[in-house]
Amino acid sequence: MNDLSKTNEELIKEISVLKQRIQELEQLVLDHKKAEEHLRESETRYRLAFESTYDGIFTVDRNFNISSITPSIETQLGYKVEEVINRPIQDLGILTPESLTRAISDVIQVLSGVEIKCAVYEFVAKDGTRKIREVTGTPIIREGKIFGVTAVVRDITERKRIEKALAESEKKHRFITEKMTDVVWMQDMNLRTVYVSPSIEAVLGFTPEERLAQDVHEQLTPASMFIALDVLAKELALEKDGQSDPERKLILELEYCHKDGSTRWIENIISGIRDDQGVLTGLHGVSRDITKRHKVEQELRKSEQKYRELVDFLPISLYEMDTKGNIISGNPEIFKTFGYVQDDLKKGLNVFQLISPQDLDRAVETALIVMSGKRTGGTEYTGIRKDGSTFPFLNNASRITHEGEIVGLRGAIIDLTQQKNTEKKLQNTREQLIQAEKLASIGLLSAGVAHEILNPLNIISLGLQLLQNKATLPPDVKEDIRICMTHVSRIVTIAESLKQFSRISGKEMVMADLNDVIANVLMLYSTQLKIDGIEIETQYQPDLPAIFMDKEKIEQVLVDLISNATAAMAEKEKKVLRIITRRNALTEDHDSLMIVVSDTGTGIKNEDMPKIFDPFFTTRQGKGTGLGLSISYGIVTDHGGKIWAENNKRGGASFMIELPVRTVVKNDSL
Amino acid sequence: MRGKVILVIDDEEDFCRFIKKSIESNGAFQVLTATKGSEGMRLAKTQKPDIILLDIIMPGMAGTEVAEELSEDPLTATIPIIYLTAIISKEEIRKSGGVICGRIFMAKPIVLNELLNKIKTLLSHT
Repeated sequence: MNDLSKTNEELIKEISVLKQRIQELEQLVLDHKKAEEHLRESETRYRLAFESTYDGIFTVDRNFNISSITPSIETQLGYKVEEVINRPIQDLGILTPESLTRAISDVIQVLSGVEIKCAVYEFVAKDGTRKIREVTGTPIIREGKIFGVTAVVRDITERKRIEKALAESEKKHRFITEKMTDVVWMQDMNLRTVYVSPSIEAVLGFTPEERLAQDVHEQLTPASMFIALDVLAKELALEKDGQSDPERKLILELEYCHKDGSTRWIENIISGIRDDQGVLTGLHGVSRDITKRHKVEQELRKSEQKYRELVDFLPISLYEMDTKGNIISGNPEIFKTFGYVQDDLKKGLNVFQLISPQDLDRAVETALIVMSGKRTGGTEYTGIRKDGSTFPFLNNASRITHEGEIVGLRGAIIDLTQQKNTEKKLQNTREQLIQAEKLASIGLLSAGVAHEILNPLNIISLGLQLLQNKATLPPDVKEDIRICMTHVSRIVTIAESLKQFSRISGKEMVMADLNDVIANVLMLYSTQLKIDGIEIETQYQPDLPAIFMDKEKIEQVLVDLISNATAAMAEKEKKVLRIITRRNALTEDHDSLMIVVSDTGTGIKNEDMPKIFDPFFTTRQGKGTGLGLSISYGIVTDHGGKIWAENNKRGGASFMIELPVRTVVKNDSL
Repeated sequence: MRGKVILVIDDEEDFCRFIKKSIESNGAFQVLTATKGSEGMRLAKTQKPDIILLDIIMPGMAGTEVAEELSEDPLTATIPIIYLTAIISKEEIRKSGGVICGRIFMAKPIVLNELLNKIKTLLSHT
């Protein structure tokens, strides 16, 4: 520049270069400033990050003394800087013994030049709380020599919490996935599966992906498919009506195909998926494998069916009733027994309608005992049928409990009608035997007794007659004697009757027509019967075979029965004597003729019934000897026959005589 | 009518006493009594009564036995016998008119008038 030879042009050029240089320098300053600002910014950022992310930094020298530490120790562990500075870390108690051991070992390692990353220690704050921190240790190198450790402490509590929560959540999720057997699914309106939970694999063997690719008919058995479509159609129809509950749930048991070719019964709880307008857009459901339950149920159903059939088949009436006595259920037999039909249950049927009123107190008492859990054994009651008729039955009951509460009684009823009839027949037979025995023994004695009575009586009688004939007797004495004579006559009648117990003898047995014998007796008595106002009705079965009999004795029986009937009807307005004959040819061994003599009289009192054939039993005090029927009984049994009495349903009594058609007559007369 | 002799054979002594009194007080009868069959038999043979009233059931010699023996003896065979008995009822006797198989029966207790009538009837035939 000092060169004067430089031209003006050259000088202008130089100035321009200098100006550019100045501009360049100015730019450099600007850039420097920018860099400085950037650095400052960056520093602030790091500091903020340091302060917020890290709990602190401290350095440890080769003697494990804390040589420097950030003030954050106070907020983190509650210690002041001066409390910890220049003190050996092992003396401070800021680490748990386990963490301290590791920390010292780690410091030694770092001092050997190896960086420690993310060691997790458990720190102990001044107040005793424990804090988990992650520490990264780097060696402090100065002039090529390691003379300490820088430790950067990071709070990982939140991370640990999140990690723990994550682990727990994962565990839960894994548990659900592994253990949950319910399948959650969603289907569109074409029944295509759009979502299915992984549990599908455990239940049906298909992965969710495989499931999503399946058509509904690949999922269900044909029968279940049919049911599903049917139900869907019905639900859609309901949907159209707009009257259905959009929140409704449907429980449907369907049979599904398993990947292995078998099937599973699955219970589905299905509800609808709706859009904002409430329009049904799909279905979602929870499905559960109920194959085992289904099998058990099916077995139960089969077993129940078997028992029901058995119960229906049994000739025993079975019932269940609640605690108020309302019949809840019964088998066909019980309805048959009481003359009701199943439908009567709907109208309400109480057990007390079925029991005779006089048995009610006893029935209630027994029911209470049974409900208390005690066993009562069978109890007999009189049952009332729907038509009002009665019958005897035996009841055996036990209580029904539901969840520990007594809810009613369950029982079995046996109709005792037939048994009672058999018992009655047996009793009759027994009575007849006893009667026969009685009569036999009386027969043995009676003739002798009669003789023994009549002889002294003969003397008394004669003595009285002698006195009577005395002309000098005062009239009242004569009257007394007359009274004595009438009673002598009574004794005579009794004694005479007694003699008739002597058995019939074979000599007097002839073949005779029973109808003729009866007609003959009626003819003899017709005038007397007419006088007594008695109407006679006869009904003879024609062409009866002649039977072997002692005519006179049979006549005597008939006369006795007619005489009894006449007496029984004395006070009655309508007096009808009906005599019926018929043949009971059941088998060759059982061929007999029956005579029925009925009256419209007072009938026989139940308590008298067992005694009417007893000798000396009479209801006509002073008038009868009480021997007529017992003699008749003897006569009939001597003919190999039977005689018994029954009261008529419409009043009066009937005497039945059965005489065998073919018989060998006993010939053991006394 | 001369005094007819009636023999009563009955084991009841009291009956014999009463029947004797009764018959004798009712007519010209002589009544002999025996309480044993054998004694009656002796009296029948020795006294030859006009009528015999005979009890059937008696201890020792029964009435039927007496009757049989008497019928075997020509001296006594024709003596009418009235059987007085408690073994055949009044009813039966009534039905048969008092005669059963040719024998005359009367049932005990005896009705005195009936007996007297019977005796008188029988005696009038002889």
